[in-house]
Amino acid sequence: MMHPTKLAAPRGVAGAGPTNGREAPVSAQPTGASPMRLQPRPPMSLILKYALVFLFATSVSVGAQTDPAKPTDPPPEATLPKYKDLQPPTADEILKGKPVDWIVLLNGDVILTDPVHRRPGTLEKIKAEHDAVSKQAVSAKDLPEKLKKLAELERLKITLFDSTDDPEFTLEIRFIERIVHFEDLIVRRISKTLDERQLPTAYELLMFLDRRARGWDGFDAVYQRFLFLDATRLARDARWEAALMQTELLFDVDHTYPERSSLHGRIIDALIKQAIFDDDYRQARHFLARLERFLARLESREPAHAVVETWTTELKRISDDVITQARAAQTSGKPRDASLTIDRAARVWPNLPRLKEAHKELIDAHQILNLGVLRLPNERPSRITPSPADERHRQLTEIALFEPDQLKDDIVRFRSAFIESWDPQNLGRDITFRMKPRRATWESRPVLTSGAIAEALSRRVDPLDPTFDERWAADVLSVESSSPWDWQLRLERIPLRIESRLRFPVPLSAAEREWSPDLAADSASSPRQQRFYVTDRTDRTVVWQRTRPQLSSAQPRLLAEVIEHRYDNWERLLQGLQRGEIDGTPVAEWKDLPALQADSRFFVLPYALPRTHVLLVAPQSVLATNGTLRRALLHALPREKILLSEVLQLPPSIGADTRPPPGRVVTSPFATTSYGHHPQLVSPEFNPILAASLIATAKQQLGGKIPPLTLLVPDDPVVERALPAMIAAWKYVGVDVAPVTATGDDAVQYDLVYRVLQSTEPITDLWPLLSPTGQTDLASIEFLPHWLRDRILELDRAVDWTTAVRLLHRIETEFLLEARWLPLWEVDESLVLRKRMGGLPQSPRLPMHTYHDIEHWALQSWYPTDTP
Amino acid sequence: MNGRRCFQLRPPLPRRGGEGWGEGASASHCAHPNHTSKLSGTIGEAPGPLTLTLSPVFGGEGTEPKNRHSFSHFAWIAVCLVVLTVAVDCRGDEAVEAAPLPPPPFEFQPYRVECAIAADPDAPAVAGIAAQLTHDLPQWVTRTIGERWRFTATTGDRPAWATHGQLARLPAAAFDPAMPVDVLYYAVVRRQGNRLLVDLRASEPLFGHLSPVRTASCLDPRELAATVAAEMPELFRPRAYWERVNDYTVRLRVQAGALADGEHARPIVREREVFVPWIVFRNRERQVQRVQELPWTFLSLEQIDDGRGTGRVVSGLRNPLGARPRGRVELLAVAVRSQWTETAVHVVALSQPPRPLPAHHLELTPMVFAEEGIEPPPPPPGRALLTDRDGIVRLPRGEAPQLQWLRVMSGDLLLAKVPVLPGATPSARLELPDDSLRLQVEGQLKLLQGDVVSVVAQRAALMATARSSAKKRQWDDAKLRLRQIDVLPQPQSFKERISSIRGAADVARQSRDRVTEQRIIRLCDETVELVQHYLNDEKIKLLKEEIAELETALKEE
Repeated sequence: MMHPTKLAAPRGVAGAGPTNGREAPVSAQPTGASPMRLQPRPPMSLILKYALVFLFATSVSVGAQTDPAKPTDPPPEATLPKYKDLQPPTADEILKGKPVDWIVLLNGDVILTDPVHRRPGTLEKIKAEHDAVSKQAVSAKDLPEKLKKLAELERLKITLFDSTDDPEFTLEIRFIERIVHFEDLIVRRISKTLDERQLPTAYELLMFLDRRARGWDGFDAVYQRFLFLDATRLARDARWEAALMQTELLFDVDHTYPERSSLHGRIIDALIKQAIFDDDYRQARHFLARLERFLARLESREPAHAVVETWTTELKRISDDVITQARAAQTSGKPRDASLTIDRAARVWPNLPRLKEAHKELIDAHQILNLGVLRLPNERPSRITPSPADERHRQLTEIALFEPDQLKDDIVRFRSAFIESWDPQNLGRDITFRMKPRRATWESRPVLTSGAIAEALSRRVDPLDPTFDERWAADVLSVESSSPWDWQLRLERIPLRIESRLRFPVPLSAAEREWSPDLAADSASSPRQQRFYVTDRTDRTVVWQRTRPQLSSAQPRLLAEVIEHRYDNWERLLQGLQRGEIDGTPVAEWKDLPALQADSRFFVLPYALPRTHVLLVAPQSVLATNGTLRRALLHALPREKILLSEVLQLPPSIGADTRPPPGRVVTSPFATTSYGHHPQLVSPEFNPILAASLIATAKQQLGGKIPPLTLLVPDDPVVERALPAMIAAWKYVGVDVAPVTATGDDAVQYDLVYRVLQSTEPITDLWPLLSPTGQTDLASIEFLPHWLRDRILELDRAVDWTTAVRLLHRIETEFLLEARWLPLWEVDESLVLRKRMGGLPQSPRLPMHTYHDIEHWALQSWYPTDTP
Repeated sequence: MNGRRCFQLRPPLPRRGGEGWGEGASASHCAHPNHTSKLSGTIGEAPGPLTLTLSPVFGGEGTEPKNRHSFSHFAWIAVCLVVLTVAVDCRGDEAVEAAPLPPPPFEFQPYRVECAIAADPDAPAVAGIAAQLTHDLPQWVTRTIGERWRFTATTGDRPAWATHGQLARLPAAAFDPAMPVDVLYYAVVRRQGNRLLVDLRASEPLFGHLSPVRTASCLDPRELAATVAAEMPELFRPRAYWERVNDYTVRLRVQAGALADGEHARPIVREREVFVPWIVFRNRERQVQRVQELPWTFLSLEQIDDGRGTGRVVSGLRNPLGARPRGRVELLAVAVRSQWTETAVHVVALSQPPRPLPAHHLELTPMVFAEEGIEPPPPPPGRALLTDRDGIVRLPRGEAPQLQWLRVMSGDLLLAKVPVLPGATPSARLELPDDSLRLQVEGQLKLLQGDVVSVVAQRAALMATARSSAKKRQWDDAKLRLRQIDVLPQPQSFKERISSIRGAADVARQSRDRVTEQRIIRLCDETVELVQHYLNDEKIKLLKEEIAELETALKEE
């Protein structure tokens, strides 16, 4: 870079006469000698000094003699480096040092300068300009100006490289043979580096050159060579996908590059082999299709075509063999194997002509629903705070005497799979139930006799039985079975809705199983799993099958099996859903919900009840007795913000949308769409100042220190997302809360428990919700103040609906004011299923849970045929 | 009398000027060494029953003897035997005219004990064993218990309680209080494998008491009578007359307490025996009209000598013994022993109809007795209990049954404190005032107090922020904080809320429940004081002045 002050100063210009010239500047040579220069070598400034003196003298003499081919002899004491002796700068000099151009003189000497202007083709551009100016016709008045301009164009202004004092000079162009630009030197160095197979260095230089002068002549050649060499290296290291990337890049820049085609084919071949070895036929087809896409751009045949043909044939053959295996499995009476195998055939080569018919037939015989989830149900779910996955498992496997059917007028209506009718007598104190003696072909359940029910209900009255239910014992006088299909319930106290008290499964005893000989034999080990039962469990999948398999002759065919596949994250799950690896997911992430709703390939079914998140206080905790601390925790939480940003993860644009967000802050554990919601309750505000003040008060009450609190949380990804923000908010006001994930052991001491729930009957569910064990015994609410216990008892004994709802709302108010629970938010969840499912709950009846009406579900034949 | 010799004491007769077995009797029954006895009647089958009448020569009417002479019961028995011998010798020709004698002192009166024995009709070959037991049992009782019991045994002919189940279901109401027997035992002989079992149950008709079934067993039929005789005292409950000394102490005279025991020296009352006081009302004919138990009151025996001693009154009532009873009443006390495994206490509210009190906190604390002049030891930690949905709490008997205090809480209020002996009765009913209205008020005030705490905390934070801003000369921020303080709920709003809560006191007044009314008023007053103390406007006023002065001073600078 020239210094502007120096440029402003008059310069001696060769050929302009002695008056224009000046002495060559003298400068000290930098101590650090550049490795590109030949050794030994005189100091650069001295060389240049003599060189310029020489040039000046020569220009004068040449100007007199007009013979540029005869330069005068150089001063004997110093020489310029010869072009043939010079090496391009090293990679380090290029990347870290100053750029340098080589000006090669006619005699082969080289002057090292800072990069000259008008690049590339500096000499050509100056010459063209000179010609243009010389051809201009000018008046006599402008002639001196023209001559001056021509004289300037006959000289090149240069700045000597690495010269510290006055490095500005001009050089007559006629003595310059050519200029080797810095970029050319880089290209040369890249080429040499590639020769030495130093590919990372070469790549760095390539990128440097690309940034410095995109499109420089010579770049493409070294870049292509780099790509080829790098692809070869990666292939040699069996890093096939990376090698493929480089090969495809090389294809894009020059598909005619020598040996590119054979390398491409070799890489694809290896990748497909690996994919087939991994039983990932979709990936195999992906690589095959990828190669095909490239080859389609060619007009002539090349070696890679053979790879495509070979593997196409091979995959077709494999698919054909798998179809044959599936048929064999069907013939040998293994419909499940046949279904799984034919589906595998569809994954291998979906475009096989005979596949469609076979797939339809075999899938129909044994229908398997594949769902993608982020959490699988635990083998031993937590009793204190079961996760949504555990709840899903319970809803799929267990059949309660009464199950939620639909939400109507803010009230959940129940139905029973076992009970045909019930007839209240004696003003409701006696109820005669009649069981269903027969099962429809679609039903997957055992036959339950009245004796089994009477026994189960009687056990719930026995204080020594593990299933003892204190509330039930207080309400029931007797249970009698009058015939295998009739039983009578005599009540001491009439509950508001008897259905809500009978929401539990009756375990199937060995004797009772004899009534249902068509149940799967291996389901006997799980007496509570009566609809579907777990047949296989790995860390990635859980498999459930019907306890009562459909007869092979039964029509229509219905869902026989459910497999939940665990994905590591939502993005991968969504990819699997799009690719057809799975047929749906129980809960769609809210950020992708609009896109899924707009996708015609999927059903998006919103659940009838939102899922509510709430924190409950443990009876043994200091929180149970310190209301100030509880209120502080509640006011410290920015619930709205956590809901939108962490739970729902909605982009800001959604917030500005007119549509309400699929979640809201709540005031109680009960859904805002149910009668349990108290509309007049005002949500506690986020007020960190108030929270901090309350913490200070609580600290005084607790002897000067707030003990660290433990929060028991369910194993759920949504909860995991919200937790850091909650803990940070509490930490901000001075409370340390440590989360502990709930397990089946539940032996941990905790202060707060995070519950995620969908309450179907708030009046009945209130008491079990407050109880750590889920029981309705008085001991479980002993930690509450007397008047609250009385209130809960009063609710339990309420005899009319209006009073009960009023009492419930009053309890909710008192619980919120006293922060006896910390309601967080509720979220509207949606079930996403591919549009191959039939028998789903129809609008306006929305699913109560993921597997609502699953015995009616039917799966149509479908497999992904898109080119991956 | 089944060919056996027996002694029958004539029933005590009411005496002129006295009040039967009541207060007057307590004085007339004093033991005196100069007792004389006259024999009237015969021994054995003929010519008639032997009647032994003891007649004290003198005795103060209605007064307590100043110096009670110790009279060895052995000597008394010896005198009786001598007189008896004389009487036997004089039998026949010389019939002695029997004059009505006053009854012996209570501590010299044996218990009238009968045992009705039945053979289980379903058990094979036990009828003979039952008959043998009927024959042997009186002898064994006499040997083991001595003269304290006047014992007879009878064999029933397939009575209604002849099986174990029937015996267990025997209702207590089936007994007539006027039955001339103190304790009536029922014994069912049955067989279980090669073992002989005898189910025993004791009833006390006067108190309507029916013990639980206790089963004695043995292998050898010859040992059966001994086994049963050993088991019978376990179901036996001694009695005593009690007399009020002061509010805390009573004088006790234990029936048969001065009589000799049998071969197995066993005191008739145990250490720290617990009695339940009763009042027995009789008519002119000395027939029992009714018996009444003093509720939630016990007499804990402190010391006893020859059937006479003192007891400490332990009661849940303020003045349990009341004034000196008048009329034909007897002040009886019966020992209570933990014969049941637990006592179910039904806690009910005195409302119409009575309402069970579920989910009430209770505390059971062992009672600590201290000797006079000795510092009582600290009470042991209590055991927290909770009434169930029917207002019932079950008190287990425990290893060493003893008197305990049962405290019943209603919210923060101690509703009742009563003594109980777990296992003494199968069930008890504790009737308490209805505290629901006060409890409701307590809950509402707690909520209000929570709000007060929030406002106080918020106000403190805002005041601190305002002061801090003022020090930094951020006057706008300081004023903003002061405005925020002003919009916080004011004490007046809390007082208005308290006034509305106080309305419950009117409800209590209308239902003439003065106690609840006063409690509600007191609770409300305390909360008002709390509000006035913590939400004092003076602090805010001072802060405003302080900030204003600071602003003025700094601006002038």
